[in-house]
Amino acid sequence: MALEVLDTLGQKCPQPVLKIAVKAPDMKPGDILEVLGDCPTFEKDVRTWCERLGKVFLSVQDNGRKEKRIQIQF
Amino acid sequence: MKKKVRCWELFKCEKKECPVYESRELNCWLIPGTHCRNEIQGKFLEKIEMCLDCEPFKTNIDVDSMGETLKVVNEQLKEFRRMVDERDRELEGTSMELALGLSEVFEGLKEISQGNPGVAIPETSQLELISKLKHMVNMTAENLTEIVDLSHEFAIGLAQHFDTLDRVSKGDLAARISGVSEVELLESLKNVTNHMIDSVSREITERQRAEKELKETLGELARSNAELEQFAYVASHDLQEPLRMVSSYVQLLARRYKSKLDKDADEFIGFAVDGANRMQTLINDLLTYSRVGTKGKPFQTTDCNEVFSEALLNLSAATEESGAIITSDNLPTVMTDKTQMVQLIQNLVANAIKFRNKDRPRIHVSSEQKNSTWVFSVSDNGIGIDSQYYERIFAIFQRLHGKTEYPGTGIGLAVCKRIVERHGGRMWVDSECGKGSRFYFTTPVSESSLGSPG
Repeated sequence: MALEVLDTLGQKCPQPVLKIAVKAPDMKPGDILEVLGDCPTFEKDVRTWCERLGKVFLSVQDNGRKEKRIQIQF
Repeated sequence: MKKKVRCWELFKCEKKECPVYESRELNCWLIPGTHCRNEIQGKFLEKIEMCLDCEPFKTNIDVDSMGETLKVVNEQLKEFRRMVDERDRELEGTSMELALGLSEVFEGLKEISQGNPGVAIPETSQLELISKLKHMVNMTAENLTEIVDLSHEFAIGLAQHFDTLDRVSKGDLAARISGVSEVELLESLKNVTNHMIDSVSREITERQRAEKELKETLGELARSNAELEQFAYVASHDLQEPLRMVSSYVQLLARRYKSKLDKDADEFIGFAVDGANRMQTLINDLLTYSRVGTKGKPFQTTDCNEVFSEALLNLSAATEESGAIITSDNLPTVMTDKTQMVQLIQNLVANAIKFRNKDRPRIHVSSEQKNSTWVFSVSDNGIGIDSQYYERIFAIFQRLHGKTEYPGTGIGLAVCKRIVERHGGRMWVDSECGKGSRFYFTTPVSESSLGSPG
C-alpha cells in the first residue's frame, strides 16, 4: 500500500478535483492519496468526488490557516 | 428721543394683509410674516440683513425694544441649535448605517473574491442605496454559486467518465457511469458512454468467446493431427511386414511358376507383383510424409546455399539426363531442420525437372526478405499448372497426370507443404499453363541473421 501526496494549494475549485481524477488511475486498490488544498469548497468537493466514485474519504486535518490535508483510500 | 417712524407711511405701503399694517406695531422687525419688499418675510434672524439697512429698524430700535429683540434672537438661536443638533444626530445615524452596510458589502465581496460564493448578507438597511448594494452582492453570489455548482458538476462528471473509461481500458467490462446529473449534457454523455461501453464489452466478450472456441478447436485439431500422424506412421510401418511377405511370395510364385501355368495365371501373377510394388511405394511415401512431423530434427542455423548444393548433388543424375540449368541467388541463413530443408528444395527442383516441356529446363532458386519472413521461390520453364489445381497439387496422393505420363505417387508437394508448415511458414504456387511455374514458400527470419542473407 503506497501513500502519495498531491499538492493543490493555491488552486481554485474545481481544479483540485480534476487533479485527483487524473492521479486516480495510477493508484492501486488500498493505496492512500493525501491531498493538500486551500480552496474554500475543497473539502466539500473531495467528499462529493469520493461519494460519486466509490472511494473512501479517510480523514481531514485543518491546520487553521485555511489549508486542509485530506486522505483518500482507493 | 428720535421720532418713531411708521413703515407703512414711510414706504406708502397699502398691503393690508401685512400683519404690521393691520396691527400698526412699530417693532416691525420682530413680527414674522411681514410683506416687505413685495415678499412675505420670516422671523427676525431670517430677515436681519434687510432690517439692518431698513429705516424703521434703525429709527425705532431703542433700549426697550432691544431687550425684546435679544429675547427673540435668543429664542430663534435656540431653535436653530435644536435643528442643528437634530441634523447632527440624523447625519451620525446615516454615516453609521453607511459604514456598517459598506463593511458587510466589503466582507461579502471579499468572500466571493476568495472563491467562496456561499455568501448571503441581510439586505435590510435604512439607506436604500445600501440595501440595493447588498442585494446586488447577494445576487452576484447567487449567480456565481450557480456557475460554481455547474463547474463542480462538470468536474465531478468528467472525473467519473475518466475513472470509468480507465477501468474499462484496464479490462473491467462491468464498469459503468452511475448517478444522475441535473446537467442535461452530462446525462446525455453518460448515456452515450454507457451505451458505447455496452457495445464494446459485448464485442469483446464475443471475441473472447470466439478466441476460446478457436483455441479449443485448434487444440482438438492438433490432437487429432498428432493421432492421425501416429496412426499413419504405425499403419504404414506395421503394413510393411505383411506386405513384404505378400510381395516376396508373389515374386517367388512369378519366378518359380512363370510359363508353367496357363497364360492367365502369368498375367494374374504379373498384376499381383505390380500391385505389391505399388503398395510398397505408397507405404514408403506415407512413411516419409508422417515422418516429417514425427521424426523431424531440432532447428539449427542453416546456410541455405549449402542446402541448395546438397540438393543439387542428390539430383545430379536427373540433371545430367535432362540437361537442366539450375541456378540460385545468394541464399540466407535460417533456423531450420537441414535434412528437411534439403528434401524440400530437392523435391521442388526434381518436380521442375520432371514436369519439363520440350525446352531445356531452366530452374532458378531465389529468396527475398519481407519484414520478418524470408520468401523463397523455385521457378521453372516447365509445363505449368492450371489455376484450378493450385490447391489440389499440395494434397497427399493427388496427381494431375497418368502414371505412364509422369511417374510418381503424388506425395512430393504434400511432403514439401508439411515441411514448410512445420517451420512455421506457408506455401503456394503461381503458374501459367505451358509457360512454367513458380513455387513459393516462407520461413521466419531467424533473429541472429536478421537483415543479412548468406
